[in-house]
Amino acid sequence: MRRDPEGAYEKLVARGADALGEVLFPVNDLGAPNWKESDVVGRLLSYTDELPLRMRRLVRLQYAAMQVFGGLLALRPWPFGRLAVKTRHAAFVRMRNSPVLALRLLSDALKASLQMMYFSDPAVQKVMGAFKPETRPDDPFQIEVREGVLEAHLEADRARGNAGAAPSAEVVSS
Amino acid sequence: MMKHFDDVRAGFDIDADVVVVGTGASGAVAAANFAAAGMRTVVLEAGPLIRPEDMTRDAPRFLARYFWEGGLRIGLGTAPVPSMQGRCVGGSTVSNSAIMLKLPDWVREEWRREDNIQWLADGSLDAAFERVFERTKTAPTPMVAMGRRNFFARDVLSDMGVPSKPLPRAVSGCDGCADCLVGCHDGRKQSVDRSYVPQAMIDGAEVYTCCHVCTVDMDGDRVTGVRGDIVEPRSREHVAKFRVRAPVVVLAAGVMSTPVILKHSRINPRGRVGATLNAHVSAGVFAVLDEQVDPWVGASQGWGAISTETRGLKYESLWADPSVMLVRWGGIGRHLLERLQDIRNMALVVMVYRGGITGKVGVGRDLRPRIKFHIPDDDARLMYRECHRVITSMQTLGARYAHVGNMPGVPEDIYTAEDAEGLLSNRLKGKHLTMTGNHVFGSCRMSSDPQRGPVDPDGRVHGTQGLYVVDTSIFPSPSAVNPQATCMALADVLTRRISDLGLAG
Ligand SMILES: Cc1cc2nc3c(=O)[nH]c(=O)nc-3n(C[C@H](O)[C@H](O)[C@H](O)COP(=O)(O)OP(=O)(O)OC[C@H]3O[C@@H](n4cnc5c(N)ncnc54)[C@H](O)[C@@H]3O)c2cc1C
Ligand code: SF4
Repeated sequence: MRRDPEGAYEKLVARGADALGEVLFPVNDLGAPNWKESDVVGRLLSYTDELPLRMRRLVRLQYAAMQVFGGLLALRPWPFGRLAVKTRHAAFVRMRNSPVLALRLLSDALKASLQMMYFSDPAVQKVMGAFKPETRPDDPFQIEVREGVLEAHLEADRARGNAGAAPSAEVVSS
Repeated sequence: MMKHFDDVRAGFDIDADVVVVGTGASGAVAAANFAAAGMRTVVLEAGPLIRPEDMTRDAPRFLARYFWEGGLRIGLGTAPVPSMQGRCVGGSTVSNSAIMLKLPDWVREEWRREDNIQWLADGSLDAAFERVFERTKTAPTPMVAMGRRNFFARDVLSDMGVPSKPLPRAVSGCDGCADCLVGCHDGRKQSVDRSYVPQAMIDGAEVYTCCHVCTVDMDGDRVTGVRGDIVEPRSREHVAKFRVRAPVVVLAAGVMSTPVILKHSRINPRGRVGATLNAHVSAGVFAVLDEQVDPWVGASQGWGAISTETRGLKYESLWADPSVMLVRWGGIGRHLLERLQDIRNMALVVMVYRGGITGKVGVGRDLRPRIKFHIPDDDARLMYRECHRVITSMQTLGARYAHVGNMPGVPEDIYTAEDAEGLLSNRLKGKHLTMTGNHVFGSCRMSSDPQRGPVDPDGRVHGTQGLYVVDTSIFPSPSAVNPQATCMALADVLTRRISDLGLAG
């Protein structure tokens, strides 16, 4: 599922994603995977491989543009990835609060696609504490399974003094 | 019989009595009715069949594979509005939350009166709803499948003084895995790929997957069939052509695709195809509580209410994978990472309002729909006021903070009553609303008056013979409730009539 960038353009895209990934998901002492550990760049490339061509081009273009022009947000003539991480962070915050709608939308789109990759990493979901009531054995995406949690929620709800059950005819109706 | 990519990759040219385009909510009902009536029914679907082993909880990947435009379809206009649609056998029903609500009487009466659709009053729609609810095993969401997240939505609504109840859903024995968006692996959700499509095949319908219909063929005003491309399901490469000749063509490709097919075929009575578009206005409030909610379990949308104060307003609980739900949440850097643990304490209440969103659907490159929405400021302000009400109740119930999106004058994290005040400001407009356009309608409105809509009350495209539209695009205006049951019931009534008419068109 994960893969390395191929060719000059993909490398440019990857450098843009890597530079922003470090801003969004930095090295930390919180126990959360950082951008490298969760391989957001490799997963972004492999995810965009699955998109229809036009959307793939659009998403990748956003990262390439960020890498090429992102330095200008910090008034530096260098690629975004060459800025110090602190400067990149400040530049991205400025972009998110920019009065220019196009910049705000681009920052939203970049954050959204990278956050999608990060949040869909099973290791990150583990840190969130996510689990499911049943397994999907054939799914490459494996997540912890905990049984009986819904029953416990229902019990707790009853303990709070709620009826815990509605008559079967009781249902939202138009 | 179902044909998959390998069966059709060389292309084909076949005959049928009737061809149905699309296997979503409406197309599946249409196919089942035609097949039951003994007509040679060919059903064409652009996407593949998703088997349980194809389903993955890696939500971005699932969306990329099985949604139109990889799940990244955006309508422009007042504000960018994401609008999702399934691209697979079963269409959007594979990924939706399966809430099944009857069209409210007041909307039905409006449609009858304003668009002169008299049969809406003759009882046939009620009978169709009954059949649809029975076939899809529609039932209240079981209490054991609710989880704390749905109960919290109940408590918020109760604090607001809004009577709320379990939502009726097309699910048999929901186990509360909250995975509706990425498909119901164990087959509990009665999406139409599991209910109507198998029945249609038992009755003899031939379902061709990976067949993207591009053009409706006409001979004068009479339809003669459809043509299109065979599409490789992963790469979307067009590898061959197909043609189906039939005297009856029924379009059920959904609100965004049906007008594209018609316009591309230069069928556009009075220029009304795609000239109208409606969507429900929507907004959501996340709450972060001090207690563990475990939002990842519990029916995706188990609890809800219909407002008794504001006509056309609904409240619902909701959850889907964090990688889809929370892409705009959380700030950046350390601030975001510190709050990963907050997600386990999260609940969400969404509002859906009938409102007056208008728009249009044009034809873009590669036959993509070009979508525009206009969100009226007043509708958006009603949503902001409702968000404020919901937040007030969430705070009363002990929410640590709330989040409604990024908008001027409203902090990203709302901790106090003062923080929420910004939501009442008149500075907020339609363009600031963070909404999704998953309830869309009306791109090929049904009306007796061809000036108002291109489809007549029998579902036939005005001025044509044998060409019908039966999907959500025919809604004359927003349904005010979740649209699936209504589009299925409409398709049921209309296709029963068409099959009664035999092949006379
Ligand atoms: C995430 C989500 C959640 C929702 N939740 C609910 C809910 O809980 N309750 C509810 O009532 N509604 C819900 N909805 C809305 C509901 O699913 C849709 O309104 C309904 O499915 C529309 O039915 P349809 O037949 O018009 O289109 P669809 O169900 O979208 O079906 C159209 C089909 O046509 C196919 N198609 C399109 N173009 C072509 C072409 N050119 N050639 C061949 N095939 C084509 C598509 O691939 C698709 O399979 C939800 C929608 C979404 C996206
Ligand atoms: S919550 Fe899970 S079991 Fe229930 S209908 Fe959705 S996917 Fe199926």
